[in-house]
Amino acid sequence: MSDALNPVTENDLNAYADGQMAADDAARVEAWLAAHPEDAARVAAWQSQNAAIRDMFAPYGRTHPDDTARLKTPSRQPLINRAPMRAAAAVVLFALGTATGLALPSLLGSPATATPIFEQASDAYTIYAREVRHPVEVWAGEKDHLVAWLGKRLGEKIVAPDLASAGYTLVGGRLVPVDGVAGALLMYEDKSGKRLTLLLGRTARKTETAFQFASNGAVETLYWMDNGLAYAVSGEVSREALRAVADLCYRQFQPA
Amino acid sequence: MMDLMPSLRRYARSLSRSDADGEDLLQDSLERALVKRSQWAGGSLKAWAFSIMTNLYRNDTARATRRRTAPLDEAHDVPATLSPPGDPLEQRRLAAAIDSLAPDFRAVLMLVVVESMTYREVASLLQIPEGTVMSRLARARAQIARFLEADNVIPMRRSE
Repeated sequence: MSDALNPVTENDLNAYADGQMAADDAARVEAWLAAHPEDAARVAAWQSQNAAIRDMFAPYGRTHPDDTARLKTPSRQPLINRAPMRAAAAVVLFALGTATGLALPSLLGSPATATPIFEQASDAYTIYAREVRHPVEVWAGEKDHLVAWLGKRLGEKIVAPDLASAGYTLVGGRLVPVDGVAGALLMYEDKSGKRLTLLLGRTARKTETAFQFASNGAVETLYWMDNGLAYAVSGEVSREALRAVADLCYRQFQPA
Repeated sequence: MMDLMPSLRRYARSLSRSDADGEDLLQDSLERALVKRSQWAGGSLKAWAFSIMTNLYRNDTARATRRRTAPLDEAHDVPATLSPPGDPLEQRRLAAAIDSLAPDFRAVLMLVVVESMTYREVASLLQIPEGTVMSRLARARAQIARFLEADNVIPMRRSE
């Protein structure tokens, strides 16, 4: 059978990936995939993505203790009464998580709940880097004290990376909440006064990740996790510049 | 109805950006279903409940006004490498990619992938042609792929 007479469409590929094809149609797609490795790779990627999405929401496929009550009466309760219910749901979810050993890395939350690190980082940049008189709590003049203090609150020894080779010098730093616990924000600026921030937060697990970019308006953030800490460099600069800075930070946070 | 609670809760969550939003959507849908129970014309209770929830979700613009992360664009000079599966940042990125989907696309994707419905079931639930189900699914995946552009990820390296 020639491809031209019975070409495999994008819909066919999707249906095949979802296992929603009659046997002879599936055979036709399989023959196509054998000859088209790029399509085969896409189908494989969709299938593993399907599994990842299923895993993400599977834990919610449960009943809650108050479900019976919720189904009995059309509740006309005002919105304000919902808070306890939501709190109860949170407790149940938490208990579920504990019971199933579902360790949720705190900075990432259950996949979509927590504000992700890159949003916290771009928010911190937006708020503090634009401060003229009070961008930091402790200025670079007291660098040793700053680093010791933030490290102590973070529960992890830190350094204020030297970014001189990228043209940035330390302005100072402040304590900030990162995902509900103490985190550190270090601020740098170049000769023209252009600022960058480095946000540090604790992670639940000692995971190591790649560097990842995220944009929020004009603010670019490059973030990664390494050795118990999450890092995010933010600024209104090019991604190349951000990458150079992240590289410097990454190297200077050598594990002991 | 009690038998449907797990799948309704899961579907509500899969359409929402947070646990709280998911529980809200579930609660609103249950209330709507209880109020409109007389309108249930027999047939599949599940399909009826799911369509109530889907309609609430699509109509609720308030839920959609939450901040979105700007779509990632390409960083040209960077080598592309995929992170290992199970990488928590990868999972977070997938969640963000799903959050970037338009409601109609997200609903179709979740009904097929998470709720394991056939294209035909989804078509009858949403009252759209099966071809539309398939094209929305394909577009949802294309959008996710764009969002996850591997070019946005750089492998770590301490030594030169």
